Amino acid sequence: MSRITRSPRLIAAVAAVAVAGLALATVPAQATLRNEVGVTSTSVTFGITVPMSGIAAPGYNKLAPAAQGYLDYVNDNGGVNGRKVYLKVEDDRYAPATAVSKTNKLVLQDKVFGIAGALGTANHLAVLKSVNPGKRGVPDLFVNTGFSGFDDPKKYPTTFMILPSYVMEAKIMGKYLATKFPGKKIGLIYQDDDFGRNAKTGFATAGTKFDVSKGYASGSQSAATFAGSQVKAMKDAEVDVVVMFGVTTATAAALGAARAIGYSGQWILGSVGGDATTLKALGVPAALLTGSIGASFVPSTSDDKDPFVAKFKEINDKYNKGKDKTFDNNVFTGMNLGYMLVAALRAAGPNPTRAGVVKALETKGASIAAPGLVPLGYSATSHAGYTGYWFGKYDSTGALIPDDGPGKYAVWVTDSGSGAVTASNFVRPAMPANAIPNN
Amino acid sequence: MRFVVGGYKVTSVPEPAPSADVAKALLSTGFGIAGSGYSKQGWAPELAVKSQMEVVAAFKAKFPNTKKIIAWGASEGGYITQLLVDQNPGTFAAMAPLCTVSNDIGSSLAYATDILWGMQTFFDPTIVGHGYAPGLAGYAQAMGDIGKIFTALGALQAGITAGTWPETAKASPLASNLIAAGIPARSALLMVGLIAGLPTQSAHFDGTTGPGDPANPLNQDYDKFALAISPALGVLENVANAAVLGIVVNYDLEQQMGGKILDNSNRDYVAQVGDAAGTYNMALSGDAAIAGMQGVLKLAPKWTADAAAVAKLKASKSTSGKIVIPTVTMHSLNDPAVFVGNTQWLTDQYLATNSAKEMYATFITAGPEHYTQFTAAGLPDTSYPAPTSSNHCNFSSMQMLTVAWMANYGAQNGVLPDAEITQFLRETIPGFSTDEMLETPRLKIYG
Repeated sequence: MSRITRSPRLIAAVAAVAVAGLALATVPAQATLRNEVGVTSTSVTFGITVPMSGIAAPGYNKLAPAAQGYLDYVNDNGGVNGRKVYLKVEDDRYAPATAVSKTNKLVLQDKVFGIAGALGTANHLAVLKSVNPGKRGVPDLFVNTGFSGFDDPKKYPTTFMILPSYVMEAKIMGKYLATKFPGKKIGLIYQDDDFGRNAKTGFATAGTKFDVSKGYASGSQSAATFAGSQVKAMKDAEVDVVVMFGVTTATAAALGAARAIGYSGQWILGSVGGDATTLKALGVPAALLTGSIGASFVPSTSDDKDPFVAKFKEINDKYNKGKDKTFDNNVFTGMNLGYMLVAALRAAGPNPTRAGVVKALETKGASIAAPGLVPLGYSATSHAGYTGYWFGKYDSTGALIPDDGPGKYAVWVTDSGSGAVTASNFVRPAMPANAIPNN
Repeated sequence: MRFVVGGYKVTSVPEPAPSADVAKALLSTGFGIAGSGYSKQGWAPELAVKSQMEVVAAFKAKFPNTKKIIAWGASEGGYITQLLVDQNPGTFAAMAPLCTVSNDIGSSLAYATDILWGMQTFFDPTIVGHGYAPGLAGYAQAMGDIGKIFTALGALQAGITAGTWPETAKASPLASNLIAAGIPARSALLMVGLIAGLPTQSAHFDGTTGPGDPANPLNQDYDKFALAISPALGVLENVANAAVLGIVVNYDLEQQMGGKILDNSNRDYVAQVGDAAGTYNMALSGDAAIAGMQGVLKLAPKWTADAAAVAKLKASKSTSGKIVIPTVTMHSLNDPAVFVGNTQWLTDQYLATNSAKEMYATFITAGPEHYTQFTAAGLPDTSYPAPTSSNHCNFSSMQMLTVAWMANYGAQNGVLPDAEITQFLRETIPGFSTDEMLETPRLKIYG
C-alpha cells in the first residue's frame, strides 16, 4: 500500500501555509493514495447513487434499503469469504450533476471498492463521462437503467448492466403486439430522451408500426398535460392498444388522464413505469390498473411459490430498514442487486480486486444462479444483464399475473441488436441454499 | 531574495498579488513582489511582457542579491506569464499561470463566437457581434451590443420559469419557429451555453438547486426547478459575463487586426453539444425540442472572418505550452470567462512529454455543491458574494499561498514536490478537487 507520512518536505509544505497566518484544515496522519481501495480483511464497501428524495424518489427510494437488507442478511451469515459487504448510499435526487458529485464523493472520498446499482440514464451517462469509472478501474456494477449504450465494454470496460435493455424490451414488446393484437390500432407514449429513443430503436427493429406516437419531455408529465395532449391523441385516433414507455410518475399521469377524459384503450406498461405499488402510492387506484398488461424479467412478486420470492420476502421482513418495505418489484430489484454483488465478489475469489471482479463477471457472470427468469448476457464482449421478458396482466390487487397463469412464465429473449426475438427454453438454475450465492 | 513578478489590473494598475492578505503573507515570509502596468488596456500581451521585463531589470538593479524569480499571473496575466517564460529563457525559476488563457487567443475567441452568435441567432438578430466599424463608431456598436445582450438576458431571467422569449427574438424567423413550437426560451439559452461549453454553474447559481425546502416532500417545485430551470439560470449569468468579455476583446482585436476575426462557418454545433444533450435533456425540453434547436443551429447564417485579419492574429505570439521550468496552475472547474479547458490544454502538453521529473502540477478548484439562494418570494438571489473557488479567478488566500509555496519549492529545487505531497495539499486545502486523475472539459475548439 502506498502511503505518505509526515515527511520533512510535507511538514515544510504545511508550515509554509500555516506561517502565512492561515489555519489549515485538520491534517490527517496518513492519506491513502492510488491503491486497491474499499477492501479490508473484514469488509468490502460499495457505493450507490439513487434518488432517495425528490420527484423520482417514490419507488426508487426502496432499492438501496432492500439491497442493504439483503447484504445485512448475508453479513449475518458469514459475509463473503469472511468479509462483510457494505453499501454506502448517496441521494442524487435524480439530477445528473448531483449524481456526478455524489459518485465523485463515493469514489474519491469514501474510496469505495465499486459503484453498484446506479440509477437513471441521463445521470449515469453524466457519471461515465465525468467520473469515468472505466479509466480508474472502478467496477460499475449492475446499473439500474436499461439504456443499451451502457453495454459497451470497449467504451465502458468496468460497467455492467443488470436490467434488460430498453431495446430488448421494445423488441420483445413488438413481438408481443404482433402476436396478441394483430390488426389493432396501436399507439405509443414515450419519454423524449435516451430512454424513449432506445425504445423506439427496439420497436423499429421489431417492425412495429404505431398509428399514433407521442413523446413527452421528461419532467413535463402531469395528468392535466397528458389529458390535453398525449392521451387525448390516443382517444381521438381511437387507438385500441397504447404502449406506455415512461417513468412511473408519467405512467400514473397517463392512467389518470385516461380516466379523466374517458379513454378506455388497452394499456401495456413498460417495466420502468409499471411497478404497481409505486403507481398506487402515486394515486392510481388498483381498479384503474386492473387489466393493464405489464412486463417483467423477475418472478411476479405475488408468486410465493417461487423460492427467491419467498426467501426475499422473509429477508425483507427481517432485514429491510427502509421507511417503506412493502414487498414489490423495487424491493425485489434491490435484493437482486445485493445478491448479484455477493455473487460477483464470490466469483472474484477470496481476495477480490477491482480488476478481478470485472474479469470474473466476464468469464463466469453468465452462469450465476441469479433470481431472474431470463439468461444473463455477460461475457468478455458483452456486459448486457438480463436478456428477456415475460408478460402478464395486473389483477385487482396490483399483482402481475403471467398470461398463462400464476407461476407459468412464457419468457422471450433477444439482444440489443438485430437478433431475433425467440421463446426461451432457459431454465433458471436452482436457488442456492438460503438464497446466498455459492458460486 | 525570492522575487515574484506579477501582473496588473484591467485599470493598468500593477497588481503583483491578488489581495493584500496574500501580498502581506508573501512579504512576511521573505518574498519580494512586483508588478507592472502598461499603457494599453485590453489584449496587449507583448506590451505586458516588455513592461514586466523592465520591472525585472529594475528590481534586480535595486536588489542585486535576487536569487530566483517566479512569474505568476491570472487570466490574461496567466497568458502573459507563459509568454514571459517562453521569450526569456533562463530568467525565471518557476511560473504559475492561474485561471489562464493558453495556446492562442483564437481558442478563447472561438467560444466567444459561439455565445455571441447564439445570442444573435436565438434572441436578438440586431446584435452586431462582429465586424465592428473602425474607431468610436465601432466602440458605440460594441457598447450597444452589450446593452442588447443585457436586455435579452433580463427578459430571459424574468421569464425563466414560464419560458417566455424576449420580444427581440420575434424578429428572427428561425427563433419564431421555436416560439411557435412552444419550446421554452430557457432551453434555447441553455443550448447557447452548451454549444460554447459554458458551465451550468455560475457565480451565484449552482445549476442543481431549486427553491424551498428540498426535504419537504410536498415541495414538488424543487426538483422541477432544479432539473428543468437551474442549468439555464447558471448559463444565463455566465453568458452575461462571457458575452461582455467577448465583445470587449473582439472589438479590441478587430481594431488591432483590421477586420473580422470571429468565424463559425465550419462549426458542427450538433457535435459540439455532444453528450450534454442527454445530460441536460430535461432542461432542453426533450429530443423534439433539441432537434428543433439543432435545426436552427444548422440553418442560421454563420459568421465568416476576414482572412487578412485572421492571418495577422495568427502571426501574433502564442504560448508554446512547453514546460521548461517548474510550473503550477490553478483554475476553477466552472470558470465562466476563461474556460478550464485552457489549463487542461497546458496539462495535456505536459503529459505528452512523459517528463520523468515533477515539473508541473495543477490545482482545480470547485465551489460548494449547493449555493444558489432564493429570495423570500422564491426568486433567484444574486445579492450575495460568489463562493470562493467558483467563478473566474476567485481563489482563497490559502489556495493562492499554496500555489506560491509550490512555485517557490520548484524555484529552489528545480523540480516540484513529489506528486504525493501535491495530492496531500489537494486533500488538505479547502476548495481543491481531490481528484488527482481529473480531466477537466477540454475546449471544444482549439485555435
